[in-house]
Amino acid sequence: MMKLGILVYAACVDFMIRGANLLGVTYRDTNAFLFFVLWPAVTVGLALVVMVQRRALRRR
Amino acid sequence: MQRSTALLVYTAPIALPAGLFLSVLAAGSPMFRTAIPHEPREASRCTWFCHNHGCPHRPVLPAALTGDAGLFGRTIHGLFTLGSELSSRRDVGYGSANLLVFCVLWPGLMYVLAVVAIRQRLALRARRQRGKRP
Repeated sequence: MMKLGILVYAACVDFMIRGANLLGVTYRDTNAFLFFVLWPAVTVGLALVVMVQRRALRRR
Repeated sequence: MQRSTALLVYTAPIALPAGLFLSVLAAGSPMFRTAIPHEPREASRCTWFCHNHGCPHRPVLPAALTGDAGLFGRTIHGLFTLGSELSSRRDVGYGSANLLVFCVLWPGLMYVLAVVAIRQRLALRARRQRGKRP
């Protein structure tokens, strides 16, 4: 279990570092963009879509 | 909806990010590791040094997001606090907190929301088609 955890954790950090190097930005930038911009935007967007569609389904 | 189409629609929110994740990982070597590496600091690009000792490079995004006193620093602090509840070992707790929040809970929430949104969309489409029939 510990080995799997290290493998996944290291892969996630490698994704951030390699992504930063591919985009020419820093490790902090990729972390901040993914976790403070993109994921919150996607989560809020999906929640809004669910709420709007739920209202449309109840109306009919 | 056909079974194969349904499978495609519901696996897409997992398969597409996973494909991007693996593509970026494949840009370096090794693709997967069995231990946390110790790499030297490099002036021109980020390495594991930036993860292990704090990133010394100048970020592009504002300090409110990337600074130690900003969201980045506060999130790291929060993950260490959560990690201390999960394990007595500081590094294991921090890693576990990261995996729990960023690999299980938050992606899980997004996937559930995506599945609900797709199901609602299909239900709305089915109602519209029933309404069009003479």
